[in-house]
Amino acid sequence: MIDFDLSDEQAALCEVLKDFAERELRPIGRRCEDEQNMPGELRAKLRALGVTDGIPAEFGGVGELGPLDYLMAADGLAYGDPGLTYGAFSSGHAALLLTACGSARQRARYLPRLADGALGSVLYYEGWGRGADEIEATAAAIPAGWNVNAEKFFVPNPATAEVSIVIATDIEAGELRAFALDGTPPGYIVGCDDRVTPNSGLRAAHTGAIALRGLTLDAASILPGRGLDLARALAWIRLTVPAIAIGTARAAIEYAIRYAQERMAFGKPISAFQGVAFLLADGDTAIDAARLSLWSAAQDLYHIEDVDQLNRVTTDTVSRVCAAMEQVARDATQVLGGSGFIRDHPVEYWWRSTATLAGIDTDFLATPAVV
Amino acid sequence: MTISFDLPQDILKLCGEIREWGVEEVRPLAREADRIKALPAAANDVMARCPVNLSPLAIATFGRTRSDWGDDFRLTGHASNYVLGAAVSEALGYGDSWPVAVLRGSIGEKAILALGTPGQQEYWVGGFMRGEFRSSAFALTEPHFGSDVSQVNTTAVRRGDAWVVNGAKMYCSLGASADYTVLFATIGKSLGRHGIRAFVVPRGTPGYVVTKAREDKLGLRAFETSALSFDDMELPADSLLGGEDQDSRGFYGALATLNTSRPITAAWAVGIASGCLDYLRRWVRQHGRAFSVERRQRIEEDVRRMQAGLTQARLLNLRAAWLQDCGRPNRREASAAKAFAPQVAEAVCRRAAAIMGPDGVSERHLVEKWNRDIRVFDIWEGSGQIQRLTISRSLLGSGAGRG
Repeated sequence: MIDFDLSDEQAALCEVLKDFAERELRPIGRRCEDEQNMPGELRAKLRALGVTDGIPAEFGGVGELGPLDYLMAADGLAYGDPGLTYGAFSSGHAALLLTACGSARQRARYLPRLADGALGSVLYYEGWGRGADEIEATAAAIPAGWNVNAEKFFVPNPATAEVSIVIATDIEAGELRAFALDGTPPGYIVGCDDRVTPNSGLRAAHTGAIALRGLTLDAASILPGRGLDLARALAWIRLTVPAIAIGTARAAIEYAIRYAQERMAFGKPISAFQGVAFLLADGDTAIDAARLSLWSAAQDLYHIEDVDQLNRVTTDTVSRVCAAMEQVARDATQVLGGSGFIRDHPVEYWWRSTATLAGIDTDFLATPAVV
Repeated sequence: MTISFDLPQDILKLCGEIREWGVEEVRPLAREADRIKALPAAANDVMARCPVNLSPLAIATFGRTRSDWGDDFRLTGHASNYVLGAAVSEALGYGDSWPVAVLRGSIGEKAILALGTPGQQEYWVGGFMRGEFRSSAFALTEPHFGSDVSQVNTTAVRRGDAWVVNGAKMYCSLGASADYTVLFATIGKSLGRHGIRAFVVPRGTPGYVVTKAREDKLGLRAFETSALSFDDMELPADSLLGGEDQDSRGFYGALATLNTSRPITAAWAVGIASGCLDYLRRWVRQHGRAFSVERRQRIEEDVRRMQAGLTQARLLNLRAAWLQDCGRPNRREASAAKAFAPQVAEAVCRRAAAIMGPDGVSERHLVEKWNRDIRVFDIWEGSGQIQRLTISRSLLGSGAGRG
């Protein structure tokens, strides 16, 4: 039966998150961006919400949750602040992957530490528009275990992660695999720390570009989950980025709507001009379309049985939603006019955040050049 | 004369020199200017080697230029000053925009030329041209209005021989440091838009308060724009531009002359985007092998489309400038240029970033900065929405677009 309503539990979750976003994230988000810092106590509070890592209760977490709830949570918190939300969720991705694809031994080894606050990271994104089926990081079997070479962008906690999951192609099998590693062993090279050479936005989240050069991992480091299981976990992780973009765009358009109703020009609020009102109408519609496509992709995670199809749906969703939300936030700055170009108002920050999110995982083949 | 879109050889040569200088000397300092939110330390050295004296661009008027005050220079030798101005403006945006922030003039000079008595023109603009004043500011926008200038709330009240000014302004270019400021105030709120007058305020006038010397902006951070307030600021009677019998038609006439900079501003946006597009081309030449064959193909197609879009924008800009030079009406055409070019330029910068992925949003590359810089071009000097109103009213009559 078709039904567009959230369940009572989901509606309640959204309420809790909206409250948290407004109370805990919105007031400090821009200061954290400027200071390039995510306070430790806030990180703990976010973890306690139980929506950023899905660590099962038996390992000390708040409990597993489904992809739809997880993505709604990312959207809901990003409405409060995109940088802090990206920091929290990207740090939780290692736990998601271990829960979905790790062995019992790997889960027991890593999840309690992550539940206890150790920073995690996933080394997945490579840029170049690559989808999950095009990952060029390689893992070669050697007598001692695995030899891994990779160049990854947007790696969370690049110097401080205690538990990292590397996504690379097993060159012999020609198959994508995940590997766990502790800390930053020899061969783990921070190529660009985004706190030193920052991105346009998302500065509260600590990310960086990492090269793995001849990194040696022991045989037990490989996660047994593979094929469709791994593809599903990766798709889930990748959909976090558009979810955060949606929450950010919602914040921007809400602010712009209020501004348009209050700002007077030529004897009436600027919202009375169609040139302004239609920007907001288009933005609101784009957000609805983006959210529905994201939720649909989340539902598809467990319906699609074909890895290639899953990757395609994920890439399309990530690319289209991120591009559309960047446009919504851009248009919100346009509605504010000069006020959209100065930091006295938060909209320029939200636009920079959506632009940065669009830089993480977008495949420009999936979006047109509109010139 | 047969139709031709070719710029004269000497203008092309000059623009080539400016672009080359821009890439070699200006661009290496672009990130510094963005980070320190001011002119780079070596700005004067770099400007000393600029291939052209840019002062006429600074005051955005080519009707009367420094040559009127006995100092001739290369940019004003042309019969087609606005075409030349648009071409130079585009070339100047190519390397990076911070040199525009070095130009210490403002549209204030333009307002003085439009509104001032001959004596006022001679004293303020002539003084600027002779180097007696090194910089000027323009104060029109207030916190509660931008596009609708009839909402000026800053008041000027006659008290004896003086005008007493109270109010607040924002987005004043060089407002904190200029040698004089052209300020708009109302001499009677009940007169509505007919009560607006312009005044010239010399630096150091008591009651001229800089509330924020440098506004904190998304882009173009090397540019000083300031927030000001006026606290019982007393001005001598002759600071009123045009004198006592000046009426509000002068004000609207002055505003109309401000519009003449629209094609120049639109050209600047095209310059930024052209620089960004060529930067993308070089980046792709260096790193393109990391892309799949299909994506390399797509980049080629996208670059071609971006180039074509910028070429269209340039033609709209040059047409509007050319009409200006011919002394023909160009209200619709200037608005078309200003409505079209910034959006194309923004789309080009945005697409360059999208192609570059993580490199496109990182300070590792200037594409990140240009994406922030370009955002203002569809906002200032008449937003895209205002331009559309202007165009539709010229097509459909003055009632068009009114709800």
